[in-house]
Amino acid sequence: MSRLAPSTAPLDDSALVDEVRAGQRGAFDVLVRRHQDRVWRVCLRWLGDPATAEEIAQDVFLAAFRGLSGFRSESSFRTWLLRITVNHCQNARTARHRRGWGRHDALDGEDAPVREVIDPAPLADARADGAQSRARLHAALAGLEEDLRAVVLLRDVEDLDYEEIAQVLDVPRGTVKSRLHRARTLLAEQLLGGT
Amino acid sequence: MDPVFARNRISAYLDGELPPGEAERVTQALASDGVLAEEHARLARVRALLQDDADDAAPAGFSARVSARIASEEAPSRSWRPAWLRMEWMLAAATAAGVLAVVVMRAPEAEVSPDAESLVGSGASAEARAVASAEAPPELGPPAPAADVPSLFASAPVDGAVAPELTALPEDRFAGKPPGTAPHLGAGRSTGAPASAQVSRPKGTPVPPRVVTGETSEREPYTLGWEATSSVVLQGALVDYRVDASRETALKELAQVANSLGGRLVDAGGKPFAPYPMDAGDARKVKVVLPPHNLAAFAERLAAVGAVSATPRADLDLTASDGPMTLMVEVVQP
Repeated sequence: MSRLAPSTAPLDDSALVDEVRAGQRGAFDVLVRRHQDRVWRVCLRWLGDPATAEEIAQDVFLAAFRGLSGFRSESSFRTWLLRITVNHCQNARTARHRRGWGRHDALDGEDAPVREVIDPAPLADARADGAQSRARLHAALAGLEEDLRAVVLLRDVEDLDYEEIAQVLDVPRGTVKSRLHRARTLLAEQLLGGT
Repeated sequence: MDPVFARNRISAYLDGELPPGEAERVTQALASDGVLAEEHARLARVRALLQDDADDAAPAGFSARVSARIASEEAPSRSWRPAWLRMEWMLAAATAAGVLAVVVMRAPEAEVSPDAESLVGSGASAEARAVASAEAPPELGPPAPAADVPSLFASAPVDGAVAPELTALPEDRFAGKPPGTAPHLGAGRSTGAPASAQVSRPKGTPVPPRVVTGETSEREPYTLGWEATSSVVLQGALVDYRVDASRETALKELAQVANSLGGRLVDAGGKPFAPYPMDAGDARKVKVVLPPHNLAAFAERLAAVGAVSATPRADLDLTASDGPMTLMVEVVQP
């Protein structure tokens, strides 16, 4: 009987990774379902376009599957997966700019500075005005430099602590702290108006 | 209280990431500094907006689509690793080939041929990839007898644009060092050993890694390294490129070579494949479809940079997330 039978207790990520390595391909499906939302969120926030986000998110899991034999469990599977996600998002965005195709202008901060796409009016009713405020928030995120966007997504959207973010981005913890402060300050200027 | 001290720590204070002593100092500062308290409130609000926005779920059917992609790459593999990564398969191909070596290619982006750029620009989207599935090339045939292999490296007419510049280091530069330990070489470029020197390496002889350096036009100068082995089979060549983690233009350079010979890149399913920047831990299998009369020329190009190898690398664990990138190239005839 498979160790992945529904009657068994849920396996943690580490156990699932071992199952996959042992040839239980179904265990990877469990890992995908367990982490797909967080990978999707990062890809969507990063890339803006849902179609591109799905393509890249799929690529992330394929890369993880291929790379699982090299995963040494020195960090959590979640951290490792998010590192792959960030790498793929950075590369996808770089490639898009180099090629000049598939550009998502409204959310493409590198070409459309955030000051041009964000209404400078304060978002006094941001929470009440869901769709609009969300669009503004996404545009403001897209306008951040990638280094800043990464930390704020990993912290405030994915709820990683500073140490985990440092692992994902391979930067010192102090860098995480300073980037996060900078990112939130810039977002506050864009979303809430000038200081 | 130093307001700069507190201001620089507001975010970490919000996140509960400050040591107790520092947190206490910020608390005191917030109580006595109205401007600082306002800044704290603003950042807290931004954080709340971001946290409220974190409820997205992946699209319906996402996991099934991932599973299908994995299954399509695995089939007809018996293990969880993609078939093309399994050593026994490579061993069989390499044994049939009977020739071995290690290569280095260098082709800065500025040298990418118009054809290659066209490929990059036109075929990168998923939609574009889906268009020409009917052009899928035939699968590889059975391995060729070893006696057939040398003919692949004979000179042949080149059908296409001028070939990119390919450079290899002297073969003995890293002799005796294990793969992956070759030092990066700074900004200089080296000249290659004759192709014949690469092809003549006895079967099974360990091959030292080769490293070249280069820079792109869009990034700061960087050091890159290529290592590759190539197993030549009857209808084409399988080339396993091992790429330094800083290297991301491997696929583009491959497209450059293929395009210069009238060929194109396709994915494992035969669909048009657009080069994308590879990253550490990435692994990709692509096929190069070439006109039959240029297959030998392609092999010759690889041979010219030392891309001739017959022994699968024992250390070919190319899947580490922070390790080298892997590019496996299967060359087929249309």
